[in-house]
Amino acid sequence: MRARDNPFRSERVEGLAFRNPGFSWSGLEASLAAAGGRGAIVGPEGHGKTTLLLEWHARSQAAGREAVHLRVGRGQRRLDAAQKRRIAGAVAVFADSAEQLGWTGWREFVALTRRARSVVVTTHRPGRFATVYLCRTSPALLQELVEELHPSGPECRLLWHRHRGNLRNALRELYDKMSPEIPATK
Amino acid sequence: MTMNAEITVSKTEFAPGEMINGNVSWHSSEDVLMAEVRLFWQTRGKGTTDVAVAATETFANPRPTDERAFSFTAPPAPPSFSGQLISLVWGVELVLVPGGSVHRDIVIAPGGREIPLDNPEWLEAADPSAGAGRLRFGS
Amino acid sequence: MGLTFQRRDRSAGQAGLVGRLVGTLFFGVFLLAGLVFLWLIGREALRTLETYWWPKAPAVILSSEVVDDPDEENPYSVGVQYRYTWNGSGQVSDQLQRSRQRFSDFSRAAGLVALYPAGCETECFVNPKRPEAVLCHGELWIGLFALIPAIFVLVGAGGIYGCWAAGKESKAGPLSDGNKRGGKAHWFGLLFVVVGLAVLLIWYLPAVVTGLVSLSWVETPCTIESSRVVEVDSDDGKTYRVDILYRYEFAGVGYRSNRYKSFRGSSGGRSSKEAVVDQYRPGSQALCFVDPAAPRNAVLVRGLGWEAAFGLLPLAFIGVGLGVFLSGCSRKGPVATLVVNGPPDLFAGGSRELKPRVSPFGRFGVLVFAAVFWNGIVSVFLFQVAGEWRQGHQPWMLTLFLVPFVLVGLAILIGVIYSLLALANPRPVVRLTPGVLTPGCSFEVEWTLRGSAGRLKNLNVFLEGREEATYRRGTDTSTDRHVFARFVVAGVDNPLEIAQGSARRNLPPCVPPGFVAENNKILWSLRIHGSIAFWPDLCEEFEVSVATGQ
Repeated sequence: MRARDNPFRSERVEGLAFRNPGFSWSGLEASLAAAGGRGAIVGPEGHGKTTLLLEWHARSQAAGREAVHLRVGRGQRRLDAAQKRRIAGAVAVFADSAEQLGWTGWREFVALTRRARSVVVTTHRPGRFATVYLCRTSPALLQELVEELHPSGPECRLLWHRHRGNLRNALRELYDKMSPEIPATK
Repeated sequence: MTMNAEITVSKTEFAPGEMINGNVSWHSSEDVLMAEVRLFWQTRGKGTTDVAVAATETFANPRPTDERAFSFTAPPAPPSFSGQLISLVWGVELVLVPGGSVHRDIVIAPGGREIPLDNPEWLEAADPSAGAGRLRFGS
Repeated sequence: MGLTFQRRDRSAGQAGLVGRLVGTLFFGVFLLAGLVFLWLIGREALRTLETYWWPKAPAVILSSEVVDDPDEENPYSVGVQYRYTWNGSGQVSDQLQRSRQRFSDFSRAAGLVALYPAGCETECFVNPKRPEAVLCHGELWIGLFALIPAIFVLVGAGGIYGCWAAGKESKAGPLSDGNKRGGKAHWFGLLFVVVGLAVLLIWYLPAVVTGLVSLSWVETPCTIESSRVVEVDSDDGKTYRVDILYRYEFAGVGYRSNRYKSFRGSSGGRSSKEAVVDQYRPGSQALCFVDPAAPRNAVLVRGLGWEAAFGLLPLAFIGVGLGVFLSGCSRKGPVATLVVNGPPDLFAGGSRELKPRVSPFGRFGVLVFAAVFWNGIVSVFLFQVAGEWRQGHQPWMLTLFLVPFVLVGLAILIGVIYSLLALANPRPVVRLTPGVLTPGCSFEVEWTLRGSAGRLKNLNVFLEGREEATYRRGTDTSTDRHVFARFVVAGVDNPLEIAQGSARRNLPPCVPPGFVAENNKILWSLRIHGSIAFWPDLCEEFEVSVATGQ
């Protein structure tokens, strides 16, 4: 199977809509409003934080708001000049992996976004802003995603446990399983 | 707002240097402020997608319902290829503002054939360093 | 499984809380030890510095001699008594400096005694706060040794900070990831250079100079006054040195010295030292070699001994440190943010000498640095634990705690040995014609092996193509690789052809050209592999450009 036909290729996985039992956009927006427009999506790696954040950003833009999305790199303790320019004056800010910012970087970020109507960040642990959503996964969720990508996909319970709920790694393992075996050499 | 759009091309396989001729047509319930066709490539596979636009043709004075012709020269590189981890796919995309976009995959490669990377004849030998991390004794 | 080759390369680690706590504990030991020794050395240096602000007072030397304390590792010290006047009253003191100095070298103590002979009038420095005086200030350069615990403090603090603060990610993407990964680690190379230079300049070179110069010293009869083997305790265990005190006369003046040869210091092996001492029994006559320009300097054995080989150690420190430092300094920028055809057609149509992807010396240097650093620190604790076991204690907790560190150290050592052995492998010099390949082209590879090519049983040359796909999501980045092509260019087992040869090959017309984007790449490389019995194989990889045919 070629990369472009692999049902678990990256753009298909990234195209999966965020879902979870009990999740609703209205509930999420209400949580953010209750937190004064400053909220954090919290969860371990591969549990859907970035997916939820990107969808929220897209919804914000579709609603006509000036929404900015930025991604804080691993080990990036402060925002760079370009990122600061982008968020200064933005109406809605969506910052991925904000836990990477150091103390000074976080204070800068808060100061630059003080005029924004809403600021949503993703973090691995609660603390920076009020938690507006806690991302959790389950074997059933993984099964649902796999079946959407590949209707005759494998059973996912063991897969979910092996990756300790990290859906991203589980789906990448399925990508490998779909790849062809190379015949033996001459 | 509703939009219907379609891209038709003379064929879907092109060799580098060949002309890519086609038509785009759309029907939008609102005024279209900008319409353009892009020739682009993108990667698909296990890695994060890379995208690049090779050429753009912007249509002047687009109407809500319209039909236009476009023409590109197929670039020499990169060719369409498909392996286990990466596929590189060329495409033609119609972008309407407001409205959205549609695209159609094409192949640009020598002879108009996508280069497959899964040719078993290309693996003429085993990985020579498979045992290189160990000292060998008795050989 | 076939030949699917996928190497998962996580450039971002997942430390976790437990890992951070373990790391904090590990580096905390460095920090604590460094702080303790920094305080001790600093305190001594401060005590010596204080004397520079003490007022002077006239003093008369009452007695002055070299004191021999056989129970001490450094048995010789200066025994001096002097009377001084302070605030109108007479005082007596026996302090030469604020801290009593002990010497292993008799002549150094004798030199100080010679500065203050009995009866001479001189000045001393008096502590205005309490009745205390010294004849001289002491040596401030000892404070420079504070650099060593300072390094431990830096390593400890830096390591703890690193545990809790994530490492820097390259913002430019994977193309510059590897190049920037050196980060600040290359400054540790500079530390190694400093330490190596210090050992070289302070210990090794003066001894080498003395050894060489002593070849022209004057042969002089001497009488052995005492001879013994001195035991020196250290963290690494016991070492031994000879201490032979002899007296001689030169130009009518009597001298005493205990310098055996140009290189001072102790080493393992008590029996060899006892054999030496047996040759120089007290009361026996012997020959020494005296420096006519400074008769106080003398040796029993002149010239350079086997200890001169120890110069390799500081040189290795300097070499490795320089290698690490310079390789970190010479960071290359990304080849290109998007390269579709490969490098510019500068070499198309011509031939090109290929550069290896990774230098074997660079690989070795980094491993040595890692091995010395890691095992040097672990060995301190290991010997401590071993000592505890020898004494009948059973420090199970500490032993178990050390096991993973020792295993890592062993693995690094094996890597050092392997890469050291690999350094002796012949180095291939490879030329590719044309310099840039195109699908369907005919190309020629010429190779010459510099070094001991005769050890190779065979030589294989492959042209390899592989996919590399990097996936980034949130803070996670991982790269997968898959080899999709491995063309045999040459396979020879004739020794003549192994040492030098060439091979021609046609590249299939439908192979993909090289392709480099931010997250996805198609890379081509030439791999040279040679089998060597009972030795690491020769494995070298060279970047190759494959452009489109158009």
